[in-house]
Amino acid sequence: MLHVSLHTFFHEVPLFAGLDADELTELSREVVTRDWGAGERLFSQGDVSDGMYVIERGEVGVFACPGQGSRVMLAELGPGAVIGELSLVDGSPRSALVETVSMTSGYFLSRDAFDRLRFGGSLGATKIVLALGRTLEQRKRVTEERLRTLVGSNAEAAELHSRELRELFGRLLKS
Amino acid sequence: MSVPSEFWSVAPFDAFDAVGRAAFLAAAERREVSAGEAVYERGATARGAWALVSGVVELSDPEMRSVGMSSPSTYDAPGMLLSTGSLLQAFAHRRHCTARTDAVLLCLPREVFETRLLAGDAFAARLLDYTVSLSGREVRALNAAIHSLLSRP
Repeated sequence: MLHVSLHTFFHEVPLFAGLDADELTELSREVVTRDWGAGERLFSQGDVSDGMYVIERGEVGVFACPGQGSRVMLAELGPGAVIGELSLVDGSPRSALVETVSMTSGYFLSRDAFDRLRFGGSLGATKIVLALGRTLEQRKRVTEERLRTLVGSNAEAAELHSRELRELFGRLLKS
Repeated sequence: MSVPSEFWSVAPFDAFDAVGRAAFLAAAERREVSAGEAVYERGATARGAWALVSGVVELSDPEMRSVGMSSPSTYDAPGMLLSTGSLLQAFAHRRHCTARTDAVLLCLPREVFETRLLAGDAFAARLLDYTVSLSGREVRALNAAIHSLLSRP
C-alpha cells in the first residue's frame, strides 16, 4: 500500500503538530509502516503496551471486552487517529481491543524506539509527551464531567458503586 | 529556600538528583498561608502545581460531596503534589484547597515549567512523566467507572 510523505502526514497529527522539520525527520526514522487487511487485530485487551499506532488510511474499531467473550464497541477511528499513545510513558496493559474494520495502513512507534529518543535528549520526544499530557488532561476533565453527570442522574447505580466512586473522587481531589 | 528531607522521599521528587532539586527550588515560588486561608478556590484559574512543604491543607469537592461521593481530604506530608494537571493546561479548579493549619507550599507555575521543560531541565521531564502517567491512570479509572455505571440495568 502506498504511504504518503511521512512529514506531510505527521505534521497534520495533533500529537506531532509542535515538532519542527528536524524533529519530524528524527521521529520518522523510528517509525515502521504497517498494513492490515480487514478484520485484523492490532492488539487485544490486556496485552503488553509496546508502542503506539497512527492510522493513515482505513478504519479501526476500539472494543471493551467485559468478559465471557463479549465485546462492546467504544469507538471507530480513521485517518489521523493515534492509538495506544499512553504506552509511550506507561507500561499498563492495553485497556481495549483494537481491530481493523477495513483494509488499513499506518505507522507504529515502539516504546523502545521512543525511549531511545527520549533518553537520548530528543526535544521532539519531549514535545510529544507534553502534547500527550495535554490531550490526556483534556480527556480526563471531559470524562470526569461525564461521570459526575451520570452520578447525579443515576443515584441507584451510583450507590451500588459508591465505594469505588468515593475512592476515585478522593484520588481526583489531588489532581 | 530549603525543604525538609522528607520532601525528597516522595514521588516524583525521589527521582530528582541534586541538580534537579536545586533547579526545582529555584523555579518554584514559595507561599505561606495561614490556617483557614485558601490556597486556591474552586472556579479560579489554575496557575500551576503545588507541593506541600509543611503544615496541613484540606481539599474538598462540594459538588460530589452533595451527592455523598466525596469527603474532604487532608494532606499533611511534605512533598505531596496538588493540581499537577495545571502544569499542562489552564483550567478552572473544580475543588477548594484550604489551609487547616499554617502551611508552606511551593508553586511551580505552568509557564515556568514549560520553559524549563523545553530547555531540557531533567526535573521538569521527571515531573512531566509523573503527571502524564497520573493523568493516564485517572482517565482509565474514570472510563472504568462510567462503564460500570452504564452496564447496570
